[in-house]
Amino acid sequence: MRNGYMGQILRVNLDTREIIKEPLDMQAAKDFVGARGLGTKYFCDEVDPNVDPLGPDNKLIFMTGPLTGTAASCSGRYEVVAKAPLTGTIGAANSGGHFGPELKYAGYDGIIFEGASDRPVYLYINDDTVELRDAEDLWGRTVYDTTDELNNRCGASFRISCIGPTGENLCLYAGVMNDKHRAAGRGGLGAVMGSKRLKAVAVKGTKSIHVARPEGFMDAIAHARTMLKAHPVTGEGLGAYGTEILVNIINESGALPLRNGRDGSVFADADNISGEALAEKYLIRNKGCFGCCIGCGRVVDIPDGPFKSRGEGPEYEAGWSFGADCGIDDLEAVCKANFICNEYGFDPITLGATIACAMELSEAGYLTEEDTGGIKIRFGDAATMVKLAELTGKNEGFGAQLALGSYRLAEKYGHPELSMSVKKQEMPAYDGRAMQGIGLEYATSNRGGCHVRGYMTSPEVLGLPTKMDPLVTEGKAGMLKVFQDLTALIDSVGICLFTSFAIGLPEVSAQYREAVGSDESDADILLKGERVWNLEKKFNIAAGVEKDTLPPRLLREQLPEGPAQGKVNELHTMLNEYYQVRGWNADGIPTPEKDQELGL
Amino acid sequence: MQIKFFAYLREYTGCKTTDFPYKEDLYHLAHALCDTYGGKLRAKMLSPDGEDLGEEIIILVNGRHVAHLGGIHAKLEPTDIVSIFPVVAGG
Repeated sequence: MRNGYMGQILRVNLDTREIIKEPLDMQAAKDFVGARGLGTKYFCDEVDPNVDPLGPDNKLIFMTGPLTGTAASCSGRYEVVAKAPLTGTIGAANSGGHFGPELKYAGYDGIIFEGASDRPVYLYINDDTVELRDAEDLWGRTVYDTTDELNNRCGASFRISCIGPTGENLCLYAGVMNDKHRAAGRGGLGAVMGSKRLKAVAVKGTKSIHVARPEGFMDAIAHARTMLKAHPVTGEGLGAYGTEILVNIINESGALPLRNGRDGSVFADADNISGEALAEKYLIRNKGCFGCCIGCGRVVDIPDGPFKSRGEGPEYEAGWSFGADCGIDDLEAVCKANFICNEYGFDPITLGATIACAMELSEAGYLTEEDTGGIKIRFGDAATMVKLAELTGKNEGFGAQLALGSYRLAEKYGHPELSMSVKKQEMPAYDGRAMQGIGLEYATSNRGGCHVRGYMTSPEVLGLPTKMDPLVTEGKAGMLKVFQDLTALIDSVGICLFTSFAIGLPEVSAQYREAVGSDESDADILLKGERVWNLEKKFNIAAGVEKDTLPPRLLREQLPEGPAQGKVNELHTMLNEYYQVRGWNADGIPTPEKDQELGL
Repeated sequence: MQIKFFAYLREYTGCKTTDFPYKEDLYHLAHALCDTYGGKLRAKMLSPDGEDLGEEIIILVNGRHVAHLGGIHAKLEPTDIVSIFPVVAGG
């Protein structure tokens, strides 16, 4: 055990079934911290950027951070890393729950899966006992069934990370699911796991995590926890209403994309799908991940009606994708579609946005009922939206086309411009025309359209940590760089990104320093986040990923109403400045000087 | 003028929306709303001395954050829609 790290990783070859316990590369850990950063470092060192994402030479890495599983607040996070099949970019997806901490308690900072099994298997980890076991009878089963069965088989205290049927069927946006309802959701890393015929990882551990300076660590985490409890967002709002609380403020700000963005970004019925409505009508209780003092999770029950069901969520993004983006204000249908995503193990942002794309293709006459197997697809039709979610989860009928995501769907029917995606990954629930900075964020995200690769919503709408005008471009490049680097750091230490609503770099750095025994400055530690960002970028360049841009709709179609009426995203005025701020050349490539500064 | 309340502010006001007598600027509107709906709203809406907006409130006028309209001294029109939120976040 080494100061926040367990000092050991598992290397599992699925071709040969060889399992090796090898020492953690401590220099890489120092330079790239852990979780997202360290997983990406291992991946980039070992995998050809041009690898087929669904081929056996792609590797799948689970990696924790030095704070994962410690007494730090919200330290339940781990990262899954592979080349992403949806985008062809580096794929790094973060998840909470309890799986990450349990992996460390078993004695491992991470797992590297290589090759592909010739039959379904799962990895059993019980402290020092590590075995590949047969999973033939688990193949085809849902996330919930698989988790229950493995808990029956291995023990109730085991933590389970697995794929559902969508991962097995190579849905390009299948996620890796843990603790039933938590997801490393974006980019299709569940399909990578499915391509390896790896159904699950079951882990239980009894070891302790040693930190370098226990007294200083306790002081640092107590300080952070006090700030988290005192802040109105992390201490009150997120626990009461979940992330769905954003629906109304984003809508009132004129930034909630409506009907695939075709009809602007103001939804008259937004309150019907809001966090307030969810709390008032369907919320059973809130729920937190390991060590969480925020509790944004939603346990929800739809007691009767056509969408009768019980599950967790939706998050704000899913509330939008199945709601406003599909022109739907039926919260019960939105919840049901979200539960289907958890059960079948795939990404609700991409699914909802892909259904919305199909709705626009259909209304425009580009997609016919002959193409859809007789299904009439129209905006606002809640029952059809849920039916399409089920078909996609089962890979049946027209669902098999939806399982490829909106870009490939729209391209097949001759109108790729109607895919609201960046690098083939669907943008989430903020309109880049009404928020200039988030448009830049989408365009430059290293994993395609994404809101948690910088989260410019914070300054542009919420005023955290400072208020920036969403309609102007000035200052966005510099702020975005800081947010991207800090986000990379937070994802790498192993705590929840939501802590950053209340705490900042000084508090994150203090916890990291005391855990690992470092005396580095805050600036030095933030530089590690920048190093992670640039490593991801360099992988994408080597993989031939397309340039940083936005869908034509955001660049050319003016918003028809609302506070941002008449606006498009002015990406061209921000992108060059962004590259300059990053120390990259005009083509968006890191310069040799920047590489040298970061040691890349 | 139309006032909209969100999240737990609705518990303080007992309504989601209200038609409220026109005030010429946000300063006078904020004080009038606090006089009408009481201390819990005041604690969020205004600074302790009542001369500035509180730190735990977000106010939009026609969808624009008042930080870009002059803050508590933002001028108002009778047709304006004022949306009032506690500080919220998510993602």
